[in-house]
Amino acid sequence: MELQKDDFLPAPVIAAEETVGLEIDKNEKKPLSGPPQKRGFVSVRHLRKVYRIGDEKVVALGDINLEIQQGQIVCIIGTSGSGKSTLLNQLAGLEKPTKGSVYIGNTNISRLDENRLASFRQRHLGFVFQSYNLLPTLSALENVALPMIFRGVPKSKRDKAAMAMLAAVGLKKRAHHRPTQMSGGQQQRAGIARAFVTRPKVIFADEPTGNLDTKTTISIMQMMVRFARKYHETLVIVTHDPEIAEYADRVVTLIDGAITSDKEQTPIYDVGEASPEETLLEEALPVAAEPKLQGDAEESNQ
Amino acid sequence: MKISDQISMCLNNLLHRKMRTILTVTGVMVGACLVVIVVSLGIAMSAQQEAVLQSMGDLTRITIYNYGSSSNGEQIALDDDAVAAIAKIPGVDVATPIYQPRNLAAFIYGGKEERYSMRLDWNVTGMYAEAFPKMGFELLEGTWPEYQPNQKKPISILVGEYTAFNFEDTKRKEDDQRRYRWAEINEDGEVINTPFVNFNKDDLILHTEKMEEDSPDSTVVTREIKVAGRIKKDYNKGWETDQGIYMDIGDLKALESAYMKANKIKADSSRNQSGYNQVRVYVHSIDDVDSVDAAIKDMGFETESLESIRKPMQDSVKQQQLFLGMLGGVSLLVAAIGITNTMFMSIYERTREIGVMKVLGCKVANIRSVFLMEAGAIGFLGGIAGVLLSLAASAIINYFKLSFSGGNQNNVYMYGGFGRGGGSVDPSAMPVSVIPLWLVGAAIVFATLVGLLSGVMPANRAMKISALEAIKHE
Repeated sequence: MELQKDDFLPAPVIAAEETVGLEIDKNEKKPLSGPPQKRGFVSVRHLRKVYRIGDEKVVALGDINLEIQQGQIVCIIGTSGSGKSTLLNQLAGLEKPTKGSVYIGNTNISRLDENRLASFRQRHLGFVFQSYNLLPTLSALENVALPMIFRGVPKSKRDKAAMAMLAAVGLKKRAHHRPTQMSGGQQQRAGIARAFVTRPKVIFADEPTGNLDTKTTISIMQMMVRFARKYHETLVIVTHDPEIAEYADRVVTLIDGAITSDKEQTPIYDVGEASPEETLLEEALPVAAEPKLQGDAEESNQ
Repeated sequence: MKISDQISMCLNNLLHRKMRTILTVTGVMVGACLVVIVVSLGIAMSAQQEAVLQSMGDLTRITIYNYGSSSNGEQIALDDDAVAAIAKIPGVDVATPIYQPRNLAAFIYGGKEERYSMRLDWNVTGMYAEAFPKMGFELLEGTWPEYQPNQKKPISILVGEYTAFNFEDTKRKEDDQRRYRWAEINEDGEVINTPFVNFNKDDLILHTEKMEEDSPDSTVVTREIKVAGRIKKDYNKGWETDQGIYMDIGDLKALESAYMKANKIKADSSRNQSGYNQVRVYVHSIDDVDSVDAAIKDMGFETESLESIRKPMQDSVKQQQLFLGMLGGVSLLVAAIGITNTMFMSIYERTREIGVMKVLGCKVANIRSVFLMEAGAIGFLGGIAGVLLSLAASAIINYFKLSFSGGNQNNVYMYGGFGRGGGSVDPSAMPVSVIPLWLVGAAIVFATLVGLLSGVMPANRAMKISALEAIKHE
């Protein structure tokens, strides 16, 4: 299905106020100093996150402004405690910001209630976790089909799509295995299959190779980059590992809750070779071709 | 998320933690089983009690005994006036004296040359004629007798089912078996022999006995006798229904006074003063027994009714049921706590999973319903297992006739004996535990509801788990 262009236009600050179904923070400040950035598909504006630990306030994120273009592969790099995980949580709408907003497409996800957020994530976002986070009671196939289960896709349809996806990541033979019966690399490949199976617009990867050896790390990174490039999907990787950063178009460095450097770069060219199954994936993912990104406020099915 | 997917996810979770599921289900099973058994015992007890009471006699009957003086020592007469007053108490259907003659010796004769005879005075009972149709007698043939004021005309009597077999052959000696003819009854309950005298065809005549043979002061009173009807034997209504004779109290008194006159016997004045020995009262329904009983007691008479037995019996059954019910309730409560605990455990264990589900876009309502379903499924499975177990337990209880109610079993025998086997159902042969189909359904539904209720708190907790749990690094 053809995507509606309007859905993915960067949100203009003023026009957004007229958009039906969207709430705009009236007090929101315009971007301040610095070189004027092009409005991104993922747009972070004056994001501030303060945690309260007892009586003490801990500023995890100061005043983050970040514009990420569609199809861009961005690596957010920082040491432990730099606030990179907090930023990811904010980007993915897992946590509410103290101040500021995060736009994905036209939607200010910081303003959505929990159910709408769930629905939004279900349709437009994908996740790859450090500890894979496959459900232990489900087989690899069921795990990959999980986002489609939540979406209410009929079993035959979702199983077909999940199987094609598993084949693409080279786990066809492992389809009916439980996570505990698979190696870390295999689990993460299943995790990638799960993240990409619905063809989301943005994929967040939180230390995706943190638990893997070097060789597996390379194949996992290559696979993610290949998928993202192929479908023109935005990939946001959070890591502390500079080697991972080499796969990205852009590296954002975070120190103590502030962006200290934001560089575009030429990524590693070698993204490995796609398997025949991966090449054929497009036809095999009927479900994946469905997502459409619209304000999302009216999405209330399932 | 589709319902079918929610169900399969819930079953998947239960299967994945088999041991825990089995143990929790076992808890529910024991609770449900106990509750079912308790209810089944209660049902059986009620049925048994009803049967026992039925075998004991009429529940709507109050019997008044006259011991000559009331409880406060005051002399009160249980005479016709008193009976009339009792009959006017609201709720009373009929009140009649039960009169047995004291000064009467008479025989009824029948057959050729009055060959066959039957003693009257031992077997006869006088009642108000208008009471006969209201006593609950079952008329086998004929009609109800009526009072015959004209002493020249035959006395109309009501006889028991086997009264005719009381006739003896006076031509035979007393030690001769052929003098007597008892009713012989075959396996089907049919009488296969005939008595010496046929009540319907043969003429019957009554002669009183002389007090002293050859005394000039003694004469014989003779009356014709006509059998109006024959009633079915029913010991609940009195032994007279078997071999006795009923007649109107006026006829009987006339007969008695004629006999006394013929033998120059003087009436005992004290007996006349205190009135009848026994008066029988029937009320409209069981609910009237209490009030009528109290009203009669207020008049100063002593009464006896099954109410005085029924009440304590009912109370003791209720007490037992309450006790067992509490036992079952407590065990089901424990099972419910077990479910809640299991669900909490499972939620703590699956915190990360729930977080992941949320991150992947599972709606909180779906998470909640999956957990509720799990709890409900445990309740449902426990309910089914509990019903199966209780069916087995019930069969065992009935097989061994285990009595959960101690004294009740003794009561059954005691009252069974009281009824002299007259009841149609032998209460001691009835099942101790009865599980009707509705109980099976109700138990399963109830157990499922208990499961669902136990799951509400944990499910709400699961709903509140943050999606961030998925991101946390260990």
